Amino acid sequence: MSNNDKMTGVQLACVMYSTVLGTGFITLPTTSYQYARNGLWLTMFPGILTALISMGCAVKLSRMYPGLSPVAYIKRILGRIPGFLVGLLLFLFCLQAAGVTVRQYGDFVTGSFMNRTPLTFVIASIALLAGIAVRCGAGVIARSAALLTPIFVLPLLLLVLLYPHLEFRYLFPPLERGIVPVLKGSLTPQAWMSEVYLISFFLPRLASGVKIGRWAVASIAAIVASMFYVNLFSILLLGPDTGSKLVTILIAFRYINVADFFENMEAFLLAMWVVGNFVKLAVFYYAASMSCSELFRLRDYRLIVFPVGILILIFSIWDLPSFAIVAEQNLLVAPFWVPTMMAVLPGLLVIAASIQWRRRSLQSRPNG
Amino acid sequence: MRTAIGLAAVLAMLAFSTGCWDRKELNDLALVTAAAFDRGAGDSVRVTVQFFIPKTAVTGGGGGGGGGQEQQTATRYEEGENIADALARLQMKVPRKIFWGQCKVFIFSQELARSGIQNHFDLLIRSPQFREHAYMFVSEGQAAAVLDTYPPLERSSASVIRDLTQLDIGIKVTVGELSRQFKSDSHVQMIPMVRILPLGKGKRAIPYESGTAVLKNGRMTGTMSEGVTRGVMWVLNQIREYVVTFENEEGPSRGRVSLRPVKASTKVTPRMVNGSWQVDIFVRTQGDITQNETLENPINPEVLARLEKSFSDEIGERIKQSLREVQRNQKADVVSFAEAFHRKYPKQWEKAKDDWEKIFPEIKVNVRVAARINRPGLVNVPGGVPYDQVNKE
Repeated sequence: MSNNDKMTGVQLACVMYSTVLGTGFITLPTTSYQYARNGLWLTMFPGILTALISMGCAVKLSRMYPGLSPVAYIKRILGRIPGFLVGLLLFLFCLQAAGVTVRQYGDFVTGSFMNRTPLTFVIASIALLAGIAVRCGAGVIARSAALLTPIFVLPLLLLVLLYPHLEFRYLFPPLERGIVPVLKGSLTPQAWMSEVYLISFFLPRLASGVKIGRWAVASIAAIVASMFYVNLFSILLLGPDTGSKLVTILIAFRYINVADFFENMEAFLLAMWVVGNFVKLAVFYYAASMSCSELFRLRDYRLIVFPVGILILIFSIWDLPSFAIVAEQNLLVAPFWVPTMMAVLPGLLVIAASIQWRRRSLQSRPNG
Repeated sequence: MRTAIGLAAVLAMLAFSTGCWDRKELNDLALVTAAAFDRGAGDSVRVTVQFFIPKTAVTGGGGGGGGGQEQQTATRYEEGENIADALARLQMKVPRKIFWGQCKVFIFSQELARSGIQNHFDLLIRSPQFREHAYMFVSEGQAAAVLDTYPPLERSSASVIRDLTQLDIGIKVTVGELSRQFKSDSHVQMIPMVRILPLGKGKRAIPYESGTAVLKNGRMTGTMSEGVTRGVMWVLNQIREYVVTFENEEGPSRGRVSLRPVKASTKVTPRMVNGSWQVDIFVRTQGDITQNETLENPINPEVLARLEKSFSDEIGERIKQSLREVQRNQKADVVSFAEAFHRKYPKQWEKAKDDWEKIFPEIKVNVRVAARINRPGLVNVPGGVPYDQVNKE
């Protein structure tokens, strides 16, 4: 396989987009609505801050330690034993997050469409596919992201067909209970958006001369715009009923009906969303495999791809005993746990690394 | 060697890809066109399902004539503890898998609606097999009887009632819309009522929409006549194409004038005046003359002004009458005033929302109508009289 290909900016932007929104479209509108109510359409904006921090740290660290992936530079910054422990934490985080991702996907597919297909089969089949992509390398993941993201975004355009059903009165009164509910509602979206940090597993393979900052900002802008669009449509279509739907975009698609002919569109939605979730899973899967191999200094990460996949399956099924637990995690755990790993930890690493660099340059100056 | 392994893998995949858990094929399915829910024996619910018979759809029409048309639908019913249970039992009597993707009509009997439909409705909105687009109805008598009619023109009674609803003459409420009504501020739901119109002898009959059932928190509390329903539709801004007939009250020559199509747009503005709740309703409406029974010539500007005045009075009166009915008799906020107040006065609403049922009947409503007659039609003076009988000013 052409494993030494360099990645382009577009590819990385697509990786980030699908990484955040793969399950984001499924989970975020309904989770945010629990707090924000009709302020749902504002909940994605505070997340910009978290996304910029995560992204900034990823880029900064990749410039300080060019060619190194996160666990490698964590070890270098923190020393052997603390570095190993933090790296282990990152590895476990990626495993668990991949497990949650694939579980959300599986619940969506089996709950809404394929009621008779076993969950394990749905999960295992996409995990196998993602595993093959991960074995093929980061280049393949990035290229498939570039290829699949447009397909993933396509169904959103169909929401325009809902125009006759939209009720703008549902937006009023705006900010009825102040800004606090909106901020609470933005906790989960900002957690999802902090996942852009995973791009640091791909940055070492970036082609030289690519202005990554621009692509990063473009990608975050696209993520925010998509979520704004989707949340706005959810609230305009369903109004106070939004909170009772598990997957609001799925319901929105079930509403599409043009001339009694162009309807039952949700199967189309499923087909499109499989690819987004595939990219998201592949990214987490790759991050977990790379972390593991760096952690134990393996010569080739490909040896452990399938074992890691089995661990992901274990996390997706045993770690999440029920759909109620998944929802509770999205509402109460993920908003704090995910940004801790994806924004706070990188932030601390940047600070620690800068202190080290300054000290080193101070030490080296007198010696010449 | 590698090619051989690859080939084997591909063949193995092929073997797996033929069968799939959720495979459905048309000739394994029983297509449901409508479902009716009645009260069963004791505490149970009786579900009647109308199936489409595909055989006649293919060969139908050909021989026709002598033997009379074949029925294109069939009904089956079953009782159960709840709808889901009844459907499970029903499946035992139907050799094909019951398929709901095409079911566009759900009918609750009045009896069932009066004891509450919340528990039943949950199934329709929760289970992915049912469609949010399906229309909801409440039948005057037995709901099953509505499905057991065989219309002469359409393929099924389900399609008759659906097509009639789509003419926008009465209200139309889908499963999705009803779900939103359940979550609304007023806690009031409206579902159109359906009756059976017999056509000659036998089972030839069609269902038609007539009036509206009013529900509070899913329990039916009353009915609104067609007239009241239409008055409510004026307030809700749901008047699309419509015929209005009014008496020429203002002019010297009495008689009725009809307008068609009448279009309208309504603005509802809630107001709090010194702590009292008021609503201003402003209706803009316009239409073309389609029948003129008076001796007036509408080309005359003064006559036109008088006709417009009568038109606007008529509309205002209809709206006021309907509001009197819903405020005093029904005491049900079918006109969504609750939502309007919530939007404009969120703080006062927050305090008052638990007492809304007491506040709503007391709301003072001011109705203002701006009515215009756009065109006289194809002729000016009344069509059925000689020139010299036309009223001259």
